[in-house]
Amino acid sequence: MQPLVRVLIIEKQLFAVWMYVDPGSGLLLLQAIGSVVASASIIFRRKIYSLFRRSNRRTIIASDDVPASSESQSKE
Amino acid sequence: MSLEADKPDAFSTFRDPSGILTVSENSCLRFVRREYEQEALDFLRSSLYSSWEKRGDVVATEIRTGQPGPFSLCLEHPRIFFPSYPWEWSPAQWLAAAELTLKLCDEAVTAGWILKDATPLNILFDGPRPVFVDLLSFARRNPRSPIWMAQAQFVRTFLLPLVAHRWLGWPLASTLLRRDGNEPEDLYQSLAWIRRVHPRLLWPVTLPVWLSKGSTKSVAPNPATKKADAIEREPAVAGGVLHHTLATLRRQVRYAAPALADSRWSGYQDHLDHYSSRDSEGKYQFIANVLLQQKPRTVLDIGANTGTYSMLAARNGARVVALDSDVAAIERLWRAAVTEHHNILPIVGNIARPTPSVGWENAESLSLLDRAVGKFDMVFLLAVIHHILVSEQIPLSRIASLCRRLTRCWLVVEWVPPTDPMFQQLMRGRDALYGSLQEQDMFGAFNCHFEAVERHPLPNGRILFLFKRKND
Repeated sequence: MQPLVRVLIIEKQLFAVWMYVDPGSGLLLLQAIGSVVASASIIFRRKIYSLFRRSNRRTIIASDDVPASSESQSKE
Repeated sequence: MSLEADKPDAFSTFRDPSGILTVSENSCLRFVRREYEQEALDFLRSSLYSSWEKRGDVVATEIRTGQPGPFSLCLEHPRIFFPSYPWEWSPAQWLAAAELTLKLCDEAVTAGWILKDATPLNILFDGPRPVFVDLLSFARRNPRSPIWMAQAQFVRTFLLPLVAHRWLGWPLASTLLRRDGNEPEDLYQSLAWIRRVHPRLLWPVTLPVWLSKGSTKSVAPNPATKKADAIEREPAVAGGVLHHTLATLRRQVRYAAPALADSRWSGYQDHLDHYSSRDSEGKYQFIANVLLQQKPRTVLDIGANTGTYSMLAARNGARVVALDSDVAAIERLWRAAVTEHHNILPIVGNIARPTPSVGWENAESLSLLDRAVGKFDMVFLLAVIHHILVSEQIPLSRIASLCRRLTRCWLVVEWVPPTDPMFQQLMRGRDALYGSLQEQDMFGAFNCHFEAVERHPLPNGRILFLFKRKND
């Protein structure tokens, strides 16, 4: 049996296990819409967080640079 | 051990395609199909499962691999002493079961698993404590999917019955008639339009109804399912969304659970006008002595009210099932049992109209009597006979014969004479029928099945008896 066929059979069996519970229609659609909103908010928060982290890192790098440059200046 | 597949009567559950459950005298055997064996084993051998088992949140399991036939894995669980069903729980018990389901699902999501079904039938109460028993409900989750496919079932079977109970006054016991809970449409039709847009009802009821309009008329596969199935996210985002979904449901369920309410009987023990302090002390002392002398391991308290004597029995080391038809009284008793760590299972039920067996072929859930007969060392029938006799019109001889079936040994009865103010309240002018009843009538009915060991009259005219069951 081809590996792809095998994967498809397993996927179908797994789907059968999932779908023995009625997923609803309106409730599922509402969850899907909610998941889009929640995903967007998580991604947005991560972007904001990474922005701060990056600027924080820049500040740290910059503050590390200051003594190094002043040291080199003093050596000159 | 192998499963006798040619005996479908032996199966008590069969809906889950991954396995079936059979119940024997001392244990529950769960048989898992060969194709789902590996996943079940991975779950049961995970640190997640062992931490839950240590906490007592899930039922303990003994694994037996290498079974012959299509069911290659057998899981053996100890039997919960007295199984109860959601239609016998108070609102606070529903909330506890819902919160346990969400808590376990939340932890499972973090560990790469998820609940593939979420119904109160996955939970049993061991004493006052909810325990998750359907272990095949856990499956590996697609790390990229932010959708919980069992969310709709959770809403239908946990959230909407609580919402309907709180906002429409529908009794939780009516869930007996609906295995898969309430559809949002059921509630929507019964709500006034102003309530449909109330924030607490908009999300679980109104929006799903509006969104499902149109898609329900189609005969093609549900488009919502297809769309939801196609949604994929980065694993960290998908996990975050699932945690968010579960937290939202937790909030909604907490809002839906009603506050502790008063009822006709919930304040009974606080306002005992027909008992003087001497009467109360005498009754308490008599039952305390009986418990001390006979040391029953299991007690059924019929008409337990808020559980004064259930707690006394539990403090004496008994495992207690407390039965009362008053939801508010049972809710108070459950809260007290949780707070004081008593081994009491409070259930809402009426001994004169016991919970029937329901489900496919009337065999999926057991009736109250199927579960209770011959299960208890001692039965309490304290100030209850006059209710069964007058309100339910059950003859004394029938009450006595049922008691004989319920207890293995002892029966404690509090006889309330027709002159008692509580008896008078129930009679409402039917004196010709019940007014001439005497202690001897009760004694005559119970004498066929029991011998009286002790008789203790109280100053208020009520009489306490300790009966011993006669051997066959």
